Amino acid sequence: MYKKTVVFLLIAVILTGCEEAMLGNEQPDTAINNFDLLWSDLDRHYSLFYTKETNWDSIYDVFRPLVTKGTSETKLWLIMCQMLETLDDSHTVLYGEGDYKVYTSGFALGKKAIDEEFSMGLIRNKYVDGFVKVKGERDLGFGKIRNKDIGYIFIRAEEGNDPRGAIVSIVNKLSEHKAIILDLRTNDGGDKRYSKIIAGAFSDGEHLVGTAQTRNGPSHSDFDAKAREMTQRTGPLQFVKPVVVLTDRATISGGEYLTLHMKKFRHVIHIGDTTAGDFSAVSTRSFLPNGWTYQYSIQMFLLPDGSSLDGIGIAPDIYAKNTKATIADNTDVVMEKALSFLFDTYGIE
Amino acid sequence: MQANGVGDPLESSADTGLLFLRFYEQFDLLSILANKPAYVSIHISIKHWIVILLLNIFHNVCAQTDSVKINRVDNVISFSLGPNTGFLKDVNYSILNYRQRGMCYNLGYRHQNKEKSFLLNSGISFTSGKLSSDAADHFTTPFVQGQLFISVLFDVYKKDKSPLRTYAGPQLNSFFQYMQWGDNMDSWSYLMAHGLNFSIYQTFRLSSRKSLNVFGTIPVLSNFVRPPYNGFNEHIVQNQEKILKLAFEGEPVTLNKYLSIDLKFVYLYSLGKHVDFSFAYMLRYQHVPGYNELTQWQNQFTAGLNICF
Repeated sequence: MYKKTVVFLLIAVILTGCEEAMLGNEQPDTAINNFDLLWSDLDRHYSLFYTKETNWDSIYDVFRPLVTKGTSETKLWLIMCQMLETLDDSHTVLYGEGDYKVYTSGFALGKKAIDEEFSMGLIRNKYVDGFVKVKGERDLGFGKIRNKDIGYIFIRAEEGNDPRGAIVSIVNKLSEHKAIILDLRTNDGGDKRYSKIIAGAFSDGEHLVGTAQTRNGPSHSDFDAKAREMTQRTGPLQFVKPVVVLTDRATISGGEYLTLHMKKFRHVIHIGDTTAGDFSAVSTRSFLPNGWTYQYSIQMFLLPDGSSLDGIGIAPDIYAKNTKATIADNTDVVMEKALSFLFDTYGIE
Repeated sequence: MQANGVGDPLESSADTGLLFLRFYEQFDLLSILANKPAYVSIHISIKHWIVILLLNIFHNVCAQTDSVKINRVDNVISFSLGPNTGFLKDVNYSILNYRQRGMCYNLGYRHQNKEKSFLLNSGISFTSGKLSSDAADHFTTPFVQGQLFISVLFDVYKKDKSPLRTYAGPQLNSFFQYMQWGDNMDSWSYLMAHGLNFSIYQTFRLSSRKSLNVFGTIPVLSNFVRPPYNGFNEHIVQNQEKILKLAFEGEPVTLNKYLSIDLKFVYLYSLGKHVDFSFAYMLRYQHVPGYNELTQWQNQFTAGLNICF
């Protein structure tokens, strides 16, 4: 018995000392294998092939022959980015080792909007007085439009410690104003529950916003049951006087959820540019043998009529867009449009 | 130092103290000769006083022992700790192979009836450590693992005068494992299983002071919790603050969907009437087939003390 036990222990230690014997072969770090792993993972898990009618096999046929044994890391990066660009989905992102380089699919218009078409400095210098950033929230601030009876709220991200407390407090402070401008330009998203809470401070009731389904199988059309997304009320007091929501091409994900919620309320008007068109939840990061990581959409969000805005975005009620020239000219065309709308429609100034 | 308490324990203890005092003096002299700074000398003296203290305690315990026998008491509280190493491949988390390094801590309670026909064995264990991959250093991932169990074991095999006894019975078990990578919860995975295991325990007396115990468990029916096909879904998003609710929302499975084998070998050496030293090796193998396949091998080497009363 004693000898047998010792022999067993020795065998166990020796066996468990060999990684590949226990787990199977490690994934080889070759250009071809890295490409194949990325393509096949998206094939099995990405959620928007179905709604966007993407032929992922044909994408493979186009890009796979470009990868050979001798493909350099730089070339592989470019090929993978080009392949992901065909998805036109800002939730699909490729990260180089250590996140030193990042590629976001379908983000060219969003990047242009951030770089050229919006200036927070201009907003604070020319249009808003007493702008205060809320502590504990990633990028949430408020103030008052200069020389007008209009409140101003800016949200760049749906992330923070206490969105309920923050928005209840802000709406309470701005409740005496005749209107509020809710600025969601360059909003890079976050937690959609955050969006729901913020929108709830302007709610006029419960409305169906849409449904979310998560891909749950190997077929491109495999999805779980629809989860209904409803508006709610946040706090004891809702602001139901006129509200203008401002968006641009860089209003993404959580910012788009917030826009969709807001547009359900009768006293809300949407001014600006079409949003990015990225509504899905984002997967956890996946790992490649060459040290790169990536993530992608795993959900399908449908409007109550069954249509999808993924890759399309939310069109504004009134179109307005800044250019590099208007910003350089010290004019925010979108803000000007909002102010003129409030004056023309409600006589608010 | 004399074993089994033969001789005067006080005399024996004094000898040991003298021996280590000389040992300490020799080291102190060496440090002076080496012209080391004063604080180094102080450091050495504190370290050696601790060693002297521990060895004196050990010596006193041994000196007071009188033909101690293992398993001669009804209740045992055990504590042990040691390194945990292993290998993991969790396809839900990553397609890469990972090595595990960590530290595990075990706390247990065992009760045996006077006839030694019944054994209640319970325990809690916690392991924390890191997963690392050959692919990239920055893929290193913290992980935690915990287990809570209670077994009711019955004497199923015993021959007269045989040093071997075998017990078997059911075990209620709750196991969890969680790993998370990135500053913003960029990636994570988990495995939880709560249910009924079959447990077997063999004890083999090697001598009056030494014994070898073998524990083995295998799950029979588990409430098995793993991430859904795509890692998470809308239900998890909406309930992410209700951790306990999510931790028990699994599916009933048996061996074909969740195989988990624990084999633990415990060597016990009696230090005294109420204290045993334990050294244990545990081999854990877990396998989950399917779309989110998981294979895990773990080795745990632990050392600790059993308090018997």
